[in-house]
Amino acid sequence: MTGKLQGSSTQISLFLIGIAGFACAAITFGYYGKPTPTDAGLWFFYLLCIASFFLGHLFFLRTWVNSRPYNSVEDILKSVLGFAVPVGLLLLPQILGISQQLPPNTLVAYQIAKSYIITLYVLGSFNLYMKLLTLRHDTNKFKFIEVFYALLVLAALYLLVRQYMHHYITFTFYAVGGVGVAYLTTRLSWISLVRKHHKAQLAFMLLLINAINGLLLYHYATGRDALLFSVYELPEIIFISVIGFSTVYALMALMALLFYFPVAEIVDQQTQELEGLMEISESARRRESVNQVFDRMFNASIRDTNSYAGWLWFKADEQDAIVKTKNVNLSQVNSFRDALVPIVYNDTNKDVLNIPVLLEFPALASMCNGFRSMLALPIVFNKEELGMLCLFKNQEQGFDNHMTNMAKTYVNFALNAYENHQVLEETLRNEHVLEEYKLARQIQQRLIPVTLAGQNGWEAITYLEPSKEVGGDFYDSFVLDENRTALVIGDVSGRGMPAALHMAEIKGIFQSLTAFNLEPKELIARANVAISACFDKNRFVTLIYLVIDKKERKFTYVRAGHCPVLYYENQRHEANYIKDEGLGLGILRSPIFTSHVHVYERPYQQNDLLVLFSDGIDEAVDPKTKDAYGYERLKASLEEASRHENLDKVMKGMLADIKRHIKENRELDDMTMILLRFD
Amino acid sequence: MEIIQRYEDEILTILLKGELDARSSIDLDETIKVALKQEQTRIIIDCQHLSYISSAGLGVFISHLDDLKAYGGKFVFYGMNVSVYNVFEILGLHTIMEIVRDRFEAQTLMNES
Repeated sequence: MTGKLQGSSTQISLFLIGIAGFACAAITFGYYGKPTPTDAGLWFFYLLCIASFFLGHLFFLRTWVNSRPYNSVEDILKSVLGFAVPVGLLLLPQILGISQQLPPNTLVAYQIAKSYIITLYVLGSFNLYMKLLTLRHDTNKFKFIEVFYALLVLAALYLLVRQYMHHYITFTFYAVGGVGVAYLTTRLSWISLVRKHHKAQLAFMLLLINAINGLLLYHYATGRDALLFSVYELPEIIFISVIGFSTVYALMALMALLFYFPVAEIVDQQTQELEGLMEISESARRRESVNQVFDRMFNASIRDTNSYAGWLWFKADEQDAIVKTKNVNLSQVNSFRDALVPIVYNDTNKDVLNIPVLLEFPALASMCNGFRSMLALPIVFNKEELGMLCLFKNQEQGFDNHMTNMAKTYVNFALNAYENHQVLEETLRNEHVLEEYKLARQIQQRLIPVTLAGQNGWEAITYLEPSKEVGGDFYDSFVLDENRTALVIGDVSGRGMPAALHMAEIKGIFQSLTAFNLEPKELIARANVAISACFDKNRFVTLIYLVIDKKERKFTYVRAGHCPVLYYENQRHEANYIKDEGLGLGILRSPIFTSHVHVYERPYQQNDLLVLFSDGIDEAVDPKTKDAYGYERLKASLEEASRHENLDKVMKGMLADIKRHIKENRELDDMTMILLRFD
Repeated sequence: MEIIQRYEDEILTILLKGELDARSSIDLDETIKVALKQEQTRIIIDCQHLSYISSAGLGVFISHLDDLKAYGGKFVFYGMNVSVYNVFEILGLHTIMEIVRDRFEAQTLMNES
C-alpha cells in the first residue's frame, strides 16, 4: 500500500516538474516568441524549462510504464500506438498546409499543443521500447539501460552549458549516444516471443508506427512549421538517443518481424510440440487414467503431424483395449491392425513404418478411404507389443523425419505415463495387501491367548513370534475339570497366510474335541481324521497334547511329531529331553494312524520346569556361521536360567540366549515357547 | 538344489543335492508326479548329498505316500546325514518310511517287496 502511494506520489511530482517546465517555456514562447542565445538570461531560463520538461516527463513516463502490467509484445505496441496516433492527427493539418491559414493566436496554441504531444510520444515510446527490451527478462541483466538513462540526464543538463563547451565534448556525447543507440536497436529478442497468429497484427501496428515516425521526420527535416522548440535546440545526443532510437527501433522491429515470419513457423511448430509433450506428461502427473493419457497422445499426434486421419489401439490390460479414431471407422481399425501387425512387428525390429506412397501397397490402400500416405508406430512396452498408432494423410510423402520422430516421442511419453501408472497401481495393491496382513495378524493374535487359562497348580509364561505377519505356530489351553487342564502347542507346516489359516482351523478342532472329555489317544486320533479331511496332502501338523492333573501330580501327553518336551528336575538341577515316539498329524490319513499314537505319563515334583517349543527355536541359525541353535544350547540355557526365582526372568534369560545366537537374523521361522512351572 | 534322476532295473533313483527348501520342493514334487505318470513307482531317494530338508520337502514325500502304495511302489531313502535323519525321526516319519544306510541296503529292500 505504502509502496503504491509512494510510487504514485513520485509519478505526480515528476509529472508536475515536467508540466511546470513546459508551461514556463510555453508562456515565454507565447510572450516573446522563440528566445535566441543573444538574450542570455531569457535563453538560459528557456533552456532550463525545456530540460526540466524533458527530464520530468522522461521519468514520469518511465515510472508510468513500469507500473503497468505489460505481459505481451502486443500490449506494449498498442501503448506506443496510443501515443503515436494523436501525433499523426496533429501533424495532418500541417502536412495538408491548413496550419498556415490559422489565425496567429490559434497557430501558437497549435504549435504549443503539437510540441507537447510530440515530446510525449517520443518519450513515451522510448520508455515502452525499453520495456520491450526487458520483456520476460530479469531487469538486473539490463544495467546498460540504466546507463542510457543516466546519459540522457547528463545530456539534458549539458544543454544548459553547451554554448560554453568545446565542440569536441559535444562530439563525444554524440558518439557515445550513437553507439548506445546502435547497441540498443539490435536488442530484438522479443521477436521470438511473437506467436504466429499475432504476427499480422503486430506487423500492421509497426507499419503504422513507422508511418507516423516518417511523418515526424519529414516534419523536422522540412522545418516548415515553427515548434515551441525545435530539435536543434536540444543537443544532438537527445535527438539521436530518443527520437532517433524510437524511429530506428520501430523500423528494425518491423524488418525483423518480416524476416522472422518463416522462422516463426518452425518456432511455433516446436512450441506446439513441446506443449503437446507437456500436455501428455501433465495428464500423467494429474493421475489421469491411462485412457485419458492416450487420448491426449492421440490428439497431439494427429494435430502436430497435420494428419487427416488416424487410429490408436492400445491393450492397457487383459480385459479391454483403448481405441481412438479420427476419420476412420472402427471396423477399418481391426482390418488395418490385422494387416499391419505382421508387417510392423515381424519386419526386423522396425520401430516405425513410414509408407510415403500408399498406392504402392494395394492391400493396405484398398482399406483406406483414398489416403495417400501412412505412418504406423508400434507401441512396445517391456518388449511386449501392446498396440499401434497409425496416422494418415491425403497427400503422398506426408510424413517427414521430423514428424516421425515427434510421433515416436509422443508414444514414448504416453508409455512412460502408462508405466508410472502401472507402478502406482501395484504399490497401491501391495499396500492393500499389507493392510490385510496387518488385520490378519490382529485376528491371529486374538486366537492365541497371551495368558494360558486354567493355571491351577502350575504357572506358565508364553512367547510367540511369527516370522511374517502371521504364522503357523499356535498354542492354547483348555480346562477339562477342576483338577485337569489340557495344553496344546503345535506347528502347521509351511509359513505365512496358508499356515495361519490352517492354524485357526486346528484351534477350532481342539476346542471342540476337548469338550468331549476324550482320552488323549482317542482325541489325537480324531484330530488326525479332522485334519486329514481338510488339509492339502503335502501339509501336516506337529503338536504336543498335554494334560496336567494337579490332584495326581502327573502329566499325560501325546507327542505328535513335535519337538520333544524339555523337562527340568528341580531336585537334580538337571534338564533333559523326554525322548519318545509319535507321528505328526495329517501324514497318515487312515485308521492305521492310531497305532502311531503313543500316550506317556509322568509324575512331577514341586518347582520342576516344563518347556514346550516349536522348531523355530532349535532351528534358529546364526546368520554368519549357519549354525543352528539346537537342542543342546536350549537345554543349557534352561539349566542356567533356572536359578531365577521369578519365572518371568527364566523366560527372559532363555530368550536372551537365543537372541544372542541369532544376532540380527531376520530369516527365521515362527518361534514359540511355553515355560511352565509346577507348584 | 540339484535333482538328478536315474532309472535302471525298474528302479528310479532321485539324487538330491543341497537344501530341499520350499522352492526346490516344487521341483521335486513335479519330478515325482512325472515319475508316477510313467508308472515308475519304485523310487530310491539318494540323500547322501542332502544337507537340509524343510517341512515343505517332507510334505512332498508325505503327499505321495498313499499314491505309491496304491501302485504297489514305495520310497526308500538312504545315506541321510544325522541332522536330516533327526527331522524324519522327530516327526515320526522313520516309523512309516523306509530309511536305510546305503545303496545296497536300499536296493535289497526295494527288491524284497
